[in-house]
Amino acid sequence: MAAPTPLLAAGDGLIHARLLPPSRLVLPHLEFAYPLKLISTSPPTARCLTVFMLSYGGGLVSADQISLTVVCEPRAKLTKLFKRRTPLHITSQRLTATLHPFSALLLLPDPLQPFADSHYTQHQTIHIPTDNSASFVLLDWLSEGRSARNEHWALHRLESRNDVYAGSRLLLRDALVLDEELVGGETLQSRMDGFACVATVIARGPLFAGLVRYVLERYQREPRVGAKGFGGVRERRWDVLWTAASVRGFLVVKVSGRELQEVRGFLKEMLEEEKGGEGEGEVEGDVVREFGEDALRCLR
Amino acid sequence: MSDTDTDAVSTSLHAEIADLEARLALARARLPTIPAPAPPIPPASTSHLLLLLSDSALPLGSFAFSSGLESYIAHQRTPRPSGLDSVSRFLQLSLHALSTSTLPFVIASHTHPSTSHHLDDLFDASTTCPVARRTSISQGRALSTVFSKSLSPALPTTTTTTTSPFTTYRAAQPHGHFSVAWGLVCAACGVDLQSTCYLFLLGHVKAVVSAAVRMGLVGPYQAQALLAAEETREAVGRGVERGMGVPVEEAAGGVPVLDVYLGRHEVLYSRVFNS
Repeated sequence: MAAPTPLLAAGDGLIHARLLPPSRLVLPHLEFAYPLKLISTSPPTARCLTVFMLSYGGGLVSADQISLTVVCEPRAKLTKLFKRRTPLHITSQRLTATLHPFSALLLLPDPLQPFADSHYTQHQTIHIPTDNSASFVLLDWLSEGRSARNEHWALHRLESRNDVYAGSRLLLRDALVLDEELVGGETLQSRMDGFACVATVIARGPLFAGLVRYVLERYQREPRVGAKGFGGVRERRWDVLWTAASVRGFLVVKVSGRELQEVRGFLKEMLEEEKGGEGEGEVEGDVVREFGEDALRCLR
Repeated sequence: MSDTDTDAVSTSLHAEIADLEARLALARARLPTIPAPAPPIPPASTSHLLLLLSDSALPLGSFAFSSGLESYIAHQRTPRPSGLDSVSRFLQLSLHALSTSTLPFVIASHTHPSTSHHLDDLFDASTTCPVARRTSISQGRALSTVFSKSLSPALPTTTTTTTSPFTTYRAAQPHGHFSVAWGLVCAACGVDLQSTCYLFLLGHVKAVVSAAVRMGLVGPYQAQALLAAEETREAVGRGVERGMGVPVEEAAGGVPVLDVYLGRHEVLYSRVFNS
């Protein structure tokens, strides 16, 4: 493992993924500077490269700023998993990923868990090639905070923005700002209507065509609201409210649930393309086939 | 000075004038998006247009939309709060969401009308909920049509020439989102920015309250009381103020549960409205 490179500014990191023909994936660059730490654990035979992102002491602390650049060279496959705990005060995290033709990226972090009074900004930007040959799945999710300490959406401000560009054109922007301001006399916690977790999944590209089809079909089969039996948990495998849509060539999924575990279970099942009850001999979903079971470890 | 000298001078002056005029025409042609300054629309005419734009029949077809209220009510857990409580809460939350996600585009389009087609694509990229997209495009296109067919003939001709922002916008074949079209149309009618924003949010309030009456959540007198209420007026005012502080690049939703409810309008068992 390379030692932290002094040339980088504090909190900066660089990940460069490359495919050496015929099938060996390597990281010609993996650089980082305190308080950011990157670890790659992939054996040379793995279906994809996996990089963990850690920060010293297990969480981002006041005024830490993380800025990470990711490059996936042609045909390279990279999974990036964040082991992150929580922002305490003002922290920001920026990630810029450039995908070259036929490369693929999975961004599957643990859920963000904003502490009381935290101020957090996250900007993630993905540049895809204009030939539409690159593929990615991005998960962005957050929980209400440390509920064991009775923190429920007690944050000061949280901003999360996911942008996808092809060339200079913005193809998709998913942006959320939560702040503690009262609205019509209601606190942020009250406006969240009892939901403890909200998640967004964005997917695109030829490698995930099967996943997109699966999710859209599954949404079509969603029990109708107001029909007899809606609201009974027995009717639905997971206690979540979700939507799925095809927007400007992307799959956009929004999930919210009253329990983090319900959202986690739902997301895992969705990304595994679980068909439900058919038992052995099921066809592997796109994510598992391309990246292996371990890629979904943050959802266990 | 002899006659021939005078002739020579006047010939060269004519040539110079012709040259300058040609260069002026060329320079004008290179700047197609900068319109000649429109003559000010008389204030009486503007307030007349303002009252027309605030008609609840506009945008055309707005009676078909509940702006998310129908799905919100369908997702309420039992015991459900009273109809009036539900509608007032929905108004507060949806005004908040609208002021940070959509109003910035109204403001930008009103302030920089020549960039409207670009703003339209930016708004399209930022609106990931298909139900919201459908509503916005349907109302925006209706408004554009009303403007070009019905309102623009009443305006000074320069606002409708080939170099006007509206013509440039239409020529770029935009998706046609309502927020951008609203800013553009209000600017063309001479409506000031503050009124444009206030009317945009008030239009939302009127559409929601009108849907609530048709859904039987509130009676017609309760609906008028809700429209007139101080808290509604304050919420609209605060929304305008909040939206003014958000540049389009920072526009974002602030009430994620509303997006989920609105998106799930598609899986309602029975539907009265298109959104």
